Amino acid sequence: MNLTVMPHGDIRIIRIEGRLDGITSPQLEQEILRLCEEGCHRLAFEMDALEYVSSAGLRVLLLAVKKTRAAGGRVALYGVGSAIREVLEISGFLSLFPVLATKEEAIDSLTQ
Amino acid sequence: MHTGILTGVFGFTTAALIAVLFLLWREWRRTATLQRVGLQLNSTIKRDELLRIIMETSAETMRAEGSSVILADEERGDLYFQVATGERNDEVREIRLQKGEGIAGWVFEHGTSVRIADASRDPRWSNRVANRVNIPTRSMLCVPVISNGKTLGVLQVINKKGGGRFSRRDLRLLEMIASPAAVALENMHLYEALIRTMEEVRVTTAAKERMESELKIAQDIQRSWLPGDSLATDRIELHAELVPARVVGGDFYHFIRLDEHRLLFCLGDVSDKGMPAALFMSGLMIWIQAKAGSDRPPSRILSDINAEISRTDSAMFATIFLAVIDIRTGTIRYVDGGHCPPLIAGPDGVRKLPTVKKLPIGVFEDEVYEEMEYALKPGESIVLYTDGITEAENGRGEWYTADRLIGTVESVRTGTPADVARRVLEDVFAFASGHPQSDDIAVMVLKFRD
Repeated sequence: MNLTVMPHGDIRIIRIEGRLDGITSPQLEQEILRLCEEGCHRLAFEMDALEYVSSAGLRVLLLAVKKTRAAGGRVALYGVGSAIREVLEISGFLSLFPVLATKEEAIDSLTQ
Repeated sequence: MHTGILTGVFGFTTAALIAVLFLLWREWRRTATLQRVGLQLNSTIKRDELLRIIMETSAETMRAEGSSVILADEERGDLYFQVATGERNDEVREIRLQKGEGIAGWVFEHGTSVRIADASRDPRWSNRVANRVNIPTRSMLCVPVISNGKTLGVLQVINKKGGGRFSRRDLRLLEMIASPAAVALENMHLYEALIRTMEEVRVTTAAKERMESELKIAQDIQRSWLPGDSLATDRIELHAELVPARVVGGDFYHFIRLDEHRLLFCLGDVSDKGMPAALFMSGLMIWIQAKAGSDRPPSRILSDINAEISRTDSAMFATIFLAVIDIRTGTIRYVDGGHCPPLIAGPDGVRKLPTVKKLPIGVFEDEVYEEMEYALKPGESIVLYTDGITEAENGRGEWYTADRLIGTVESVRTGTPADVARRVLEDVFAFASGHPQSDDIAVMVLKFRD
């Protein structure tokens, strides 16, 4: 898995490439905790290069939702492929955050 | 004239002969000494004995009042030596000095031998060290101990017996002693490193064994929460299988008779593996047991369990499919907490059971679960499973998939629950063909008899 964090105003865009599973998810978890500690509570996840997400990976996405909500922030996803969308759908996670097509839509939804 | 010349020649020759003989004798004696020293130094590999032998042999061979071996401490980056103290020299005190400090420190740093007639007047002399050693030092020889190009420490002798000075020859002899001493010290270091490694292996192995036995106990405890693997009444038959990926895992199932006519059954997957998942699962099993009641619908049971295990500061959750069946009619009322869609298998084929998709339990405490109902026809089964089956991987990185699972269930769709569950596991493991199982696998089949 590869993580890239890009600032966009006070929004942070987190690009996840590869597999988000029990082995790689602690890395994302630390990144999210670090961002929250720095006061970044609006996160956009760019997921077009995410190949796989396990339940441990979902747990970290949930952590992002819980942490940002606690601080009055939000999470949005965009560029989600069909395999990942299916996992989000089966797990009921589609109701947790907006899943959008483009970066612009994600930024719009976070700035509203 | 002739005799004078002859005498002169003869006299010169006699003197030369004596001189040669003396040199030969001295060389022989030195060789013999070194051979004896070498044998003595090789007689042990244990630190205390070896240091004592080096010091005693050096002092004796050099006819010196005292001797010490000063060694480098690589970890601390300084030098240290031990001196015998107390009235009978039976107590040992360790003295440390910096690299470059005192004469020994200078020799260590420069890798050069020194011969000093009066040590206390040497500019390199360290009172700090001398005061702690507490032996008045006059003459001194100090040589580096080098093995394979690495300076291990220095060897020094002090105060030539009889009050004289050490000669250049003495210095060369001490340098020759330092050479086998270096080999012996190097061997001592290797031996000590080996002992340390063996101790580390012993400690690590003991810790690993303890941990494995704890995991084994955890597995036994976790297994003890499960209600068994089968149940049968005159109308229904149930069989479940659980194969953890690690010794303890996060998949779980449960079935509880609520009353004479109703049975609760559920199957789920905790969002992690290993010990944390197992602990979460254990708590969950207790809450399922506690909240299951004959007068409560499944949506209420699951909402109650969810409220108990949801914590804002934790992101651990579990997907779950929970249902209550009336065992007289085959009517199932069920809720879906973010779990894989169950399959309905019967004589007509296999299909996914539609559900109202809700969040897993443990996510938000106020999640509301919506029920649906399905009436099993006689001969039909409901198949619950975890994503450890659909996402089982083979060596080529391919997944087992839900479609393949449907195909497998179809091939045994009229079989007993045990037949179906075992056929599924067989096919999943045949598909993986030895590729390590990365997630827990659980499957439960409940059949409404013909």
